[in-house]
Amino acid sequence: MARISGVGNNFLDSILPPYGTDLGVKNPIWNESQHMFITDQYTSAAGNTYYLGVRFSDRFVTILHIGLYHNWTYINEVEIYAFDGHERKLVGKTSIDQYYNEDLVRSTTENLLKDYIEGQMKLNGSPINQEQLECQVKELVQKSYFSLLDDPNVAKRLEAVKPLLLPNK
Amino acid sequence: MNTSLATLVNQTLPAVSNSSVTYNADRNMFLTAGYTSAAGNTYFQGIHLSNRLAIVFDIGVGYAYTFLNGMKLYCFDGTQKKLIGSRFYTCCCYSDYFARKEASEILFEYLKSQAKLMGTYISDSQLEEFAKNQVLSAATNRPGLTA
Repeated sequence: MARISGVGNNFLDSILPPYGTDLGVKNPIWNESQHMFITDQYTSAAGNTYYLGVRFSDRFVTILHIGLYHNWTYINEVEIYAFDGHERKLVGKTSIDQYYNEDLVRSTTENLLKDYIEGQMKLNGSPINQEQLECQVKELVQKSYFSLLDDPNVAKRLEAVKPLLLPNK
Repeated sequence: MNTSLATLVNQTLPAVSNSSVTYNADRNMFLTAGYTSAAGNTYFQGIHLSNRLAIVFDIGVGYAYTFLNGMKLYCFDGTQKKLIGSRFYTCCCYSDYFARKEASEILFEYLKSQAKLMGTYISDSQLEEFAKNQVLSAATNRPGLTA
């Protein structure tokens, strides 16, 4: 049996169970290396695995549709949601269907967010300073690449966003 | 291959890979069928298994080098695999030492984040040691190894 001194077996068995035993805890899975949550995992009959990568900041949520086929990881779609109270509201979406590349994902996120903000500013008749807008968008997107493990403030905000991380939302 | 390992492999491999695999005794690794590109580079996956963990390496062989292109770690949820972490690499030559170190780090990050989400405190050193032993168990194909 897997053991850590001073830690009950229930904890380890619930998050790293032996084959054949259900995961005892259905917490969202945090992928620190990619700074995103992994949700809605699904393996097709053909053996391809699909999942959602979820990043959030206090202003928006990015949802990445990711597919694993044989040796390759594909980024299929990127969606951007703004908050409307405690709910999320789709404000941008694009299909990519290319090999997963973090630079591509980041620039796509920035473009979607910029398009949304720019569109809203135009609708409101506000003057647009492109350079300033691009700079602000980059800062906003950077804030969604946080570390769950190192930032004590993130854990406090998690309860608020947990409902957004539940499957099929 | 010993009996307990054979049983484990027969149970878990279908959950981890839908490809036919061969066992490479030299590397203690299961290898999926390869794909050779028009440029002559060959790509395949290498898999380490334990009863709690599957480590999948995306490997490319080009010219005289073996590259580690990516790594994914899965735990089990019943009889299904569940992705718990991944990393990508560019121009990274494969080595057992590096692969195990990276896998240990990914598992440590998963364990620490789950502990955090559950409000449980476990010291980093304890989690690191546990992660290292779990990866060693999978890498050496000793399914019953305890931490």
